[in-house]
Amino acid sequence: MKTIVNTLLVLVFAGTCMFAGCYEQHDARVNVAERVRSDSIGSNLIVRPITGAFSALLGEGIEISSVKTGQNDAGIMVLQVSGYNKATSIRRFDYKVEWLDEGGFVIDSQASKWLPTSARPKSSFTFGAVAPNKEAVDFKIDTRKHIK
Amino acid sequence: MKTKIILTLCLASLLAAGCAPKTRDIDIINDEGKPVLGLDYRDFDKAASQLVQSMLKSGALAKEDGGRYVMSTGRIVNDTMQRIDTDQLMAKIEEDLLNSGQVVMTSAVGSDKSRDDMIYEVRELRDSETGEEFEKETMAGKGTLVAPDLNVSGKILQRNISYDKKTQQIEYYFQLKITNLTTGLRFWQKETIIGKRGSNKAPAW
Repeated sequence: MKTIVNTLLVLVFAGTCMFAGCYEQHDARVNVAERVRSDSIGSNLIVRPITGAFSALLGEGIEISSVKTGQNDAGIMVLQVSGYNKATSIRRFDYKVEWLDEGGFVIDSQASKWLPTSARPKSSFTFGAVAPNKEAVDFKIDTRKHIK
Repeated sequence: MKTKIILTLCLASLLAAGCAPKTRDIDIINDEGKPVLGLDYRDFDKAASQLVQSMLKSGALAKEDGGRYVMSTGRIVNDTMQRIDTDQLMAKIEEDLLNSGQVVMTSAVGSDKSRDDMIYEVRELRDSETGEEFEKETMAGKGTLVAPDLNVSGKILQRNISYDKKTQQIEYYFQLKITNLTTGLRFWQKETIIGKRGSNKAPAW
């Protein structure tokens, strides 16, 4: 029995190495998705279902990497949120931006609604927003799971 | 026998009442209701929000001297299978444009829906015999209306596509453009798409 298990493990390892291909790192600004790029040891035909199961088990999801703000030509505040989807499946979610004036009061705007966006598995994503007027100096962003 | 019939009827009506869905208020701010195949208020919110954000981000509405453009609302064509009052979309957009501080909307010219007939009725009154009953200084004078610099117009389109045997795909296109009325040049334009897939049996209107 032990011999069979050992043989199977060796076969899986050999298969993993065989299907690994020769994926090379490239410019980080370009994301080449799994199944588009060459397979690596960590991601190939054999390992993929296992990593997917682990990802789901760990509850991997969206992580925000940066929030940039600036002003457009009209002096209105603009923002861009960048993040990364660590999950092995597409994450669809809604976000809502509320703009605040100097006193910290929410500025009433038709644009402050739940808007949908999505991120591909193991890929970065961005979404942005524009303040309703020049009074906006700060913001709050809320997210929720997209309703299917 | 009579009692049995009455009891059966009571039981049936009780059961029927239990099956009917309850009437509930919609939480407009955080509505978690399922999407519908037709266009609902959430779709108009999404479309208006995306269109306004694009307008403001483009900087096309920022006047060089820091002043505000006067904008009229032109025709918004409804080319869908639904009876849509296009004001439902434009009211949201106009509200945000006004609040942006970059634009003043005019009710003097534009499509039938955006015009305020009272502007002309008070002028007709001024020129009529009844006009003499009013204080002259309180009446709108000649040459007081301000002509628009920009005009916003657009279209809402619908395309129905058979996705598979049981599913249909419905695409709604919201198209808006802003034109400079002096030069005829187009300052900005944007299309936002809302797509839905649902049962073939469900009507999309």
